[in-house]
Amino acid sequence: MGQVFTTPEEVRGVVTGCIERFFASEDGAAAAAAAAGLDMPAVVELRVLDPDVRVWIDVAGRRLLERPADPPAAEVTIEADALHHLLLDRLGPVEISRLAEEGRVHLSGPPLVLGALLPLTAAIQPHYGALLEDEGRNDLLAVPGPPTAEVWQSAEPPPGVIGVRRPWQRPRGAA
Amino acid sequence: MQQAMLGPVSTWEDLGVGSSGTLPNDWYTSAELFELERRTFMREVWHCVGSAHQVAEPGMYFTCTVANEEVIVCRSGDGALHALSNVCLHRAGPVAIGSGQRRAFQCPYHGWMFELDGRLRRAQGMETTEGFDPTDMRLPKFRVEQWGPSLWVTLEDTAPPLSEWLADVTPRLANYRVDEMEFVGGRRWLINCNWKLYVDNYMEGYHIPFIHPGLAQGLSATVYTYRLGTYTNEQYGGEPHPRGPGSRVAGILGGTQEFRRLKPPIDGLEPDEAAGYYFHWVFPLATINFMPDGLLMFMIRPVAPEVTESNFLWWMPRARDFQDKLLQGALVNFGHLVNVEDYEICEHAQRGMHSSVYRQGRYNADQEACLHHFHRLLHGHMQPHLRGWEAERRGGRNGNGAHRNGHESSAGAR
Repeated sequence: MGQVFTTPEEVRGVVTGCIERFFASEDGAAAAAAAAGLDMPAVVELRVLDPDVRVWIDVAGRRLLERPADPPAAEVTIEADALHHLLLDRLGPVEISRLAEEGRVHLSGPPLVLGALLPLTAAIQPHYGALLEDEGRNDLLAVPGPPTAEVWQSAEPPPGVIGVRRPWQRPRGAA
Repeated sequence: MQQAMLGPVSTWEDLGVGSSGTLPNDWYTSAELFELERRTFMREVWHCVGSAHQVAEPGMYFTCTVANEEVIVCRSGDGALHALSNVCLHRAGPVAIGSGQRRAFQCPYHGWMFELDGRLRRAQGMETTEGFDPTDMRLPKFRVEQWGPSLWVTLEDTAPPLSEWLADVTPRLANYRVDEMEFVGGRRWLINCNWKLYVDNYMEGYHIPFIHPGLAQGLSATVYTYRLGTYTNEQYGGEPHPRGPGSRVAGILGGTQEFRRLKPPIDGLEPDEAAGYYFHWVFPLATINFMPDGLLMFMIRPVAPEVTESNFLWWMPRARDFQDKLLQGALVNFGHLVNVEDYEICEHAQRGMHSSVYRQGRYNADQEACLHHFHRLLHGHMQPHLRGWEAERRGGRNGNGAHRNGHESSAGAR
């Protein structure tokens, strides 16, 4: 269990509340127009871990879905604590990178859609802190973020990557 | 065939980048050479030891190891910067541990206290010791200087001023507005290879298409230049031109072109600076890398003959907004992936250096001139020490007293 949230319902409440607040804003309208321009089903599956919650976000339709019939265009997996501190802008560039390095955030999907997630996340971000303040969730706001601007050393050796084909590399033997 | 030896390792002859062999393999595996390096030339060069923000205020300090010498870097109450021996004058305990902010240092072994400028303040219980006068005792000092946002130490007086050491790199500080950047953190790895092998890897872009497929998409295959200096060298790699090599794949990936659309370079850069990366190596153990988005420095520390500590430290302009912060994170992550790829190949190559059938390679004359430059500088600095090592052996001694005792050889310790 992470340090910020105690139950999945609590996570679901703040995540969906934040996204609905975003959809209702001008930012949400702009994001929907951008998603429609991608010319593909712009549903993103957000998998929050520890506590575990899954949310399907229809950006173009400006709504949250129950489990959709079609596969989502992209999947974002992130630990609940990391999502909380990220959206409160408590992480520096090195800590953001570290989330990916340690597998605490993982993105999958076509590059075009993943690229679109960047401005989408940036647009959602201000609504998270505002929601917590409006709802009086000082308990969540008071949980301190991780130390930043540090030189850190992982306990694990670096992962082996030589010979591992990258996503854009053609499979061996392919024409 | 028996190899000619100089000191504990095979001889290396500099015939120029086109004709020389690379350093012989025993330069990367010899424990005796490693010890000789640490007690000789490593003391005579400038080492990057940390970031200036670590000692921004009076009383702030951090500890580090420079060429096997334990050192405290601190700022005293009068604002002066100091590099002090972190070895208590009594029984060699640590005067300071880790980092922090203090009014004085106290050795945890027997409680001796030292001022932040190294003077002995109090040695409790020593009143009855004959001829003991604490007023003229102080921790030995070493040379320390700040360059941009970084701190550098040398253990001997023989090194030229840091401004001379880094003369070829300094002009870039202003263009990149480094004084407006902030330290955003870094990463430390222990790599199972000799420090020279890790430095070698930095010295050429020849390996990029094979080891770094991601970086290969981000850098132009045709824009690569280098410049050799007295204590530094410079490599430049251009980002792909919109219609140039690598741009198509990068564009599909939302790579360099898309990244630059979202994150323009730092304001005020020259066109070449805005469109590429300047990689400066500083003899022997640091690199200073100027990017259109920030500054990345590598601080390398030899730990054992086949273990090297690599620290990479990032300074970046304050993020304009949250999206800019995410892009900075993506940039750091990109650098992380490139480094991980380097670590792995360095460890493979270190194992290769033990081969009974590999002795030395050849330089790519077009793309490995900086590598040859490093070997030439290293060889030049080590030659007198290698000869000295031989003379010691011929004299039947296993090293002289001055070399075996770091303090005695520490002419720079004041």
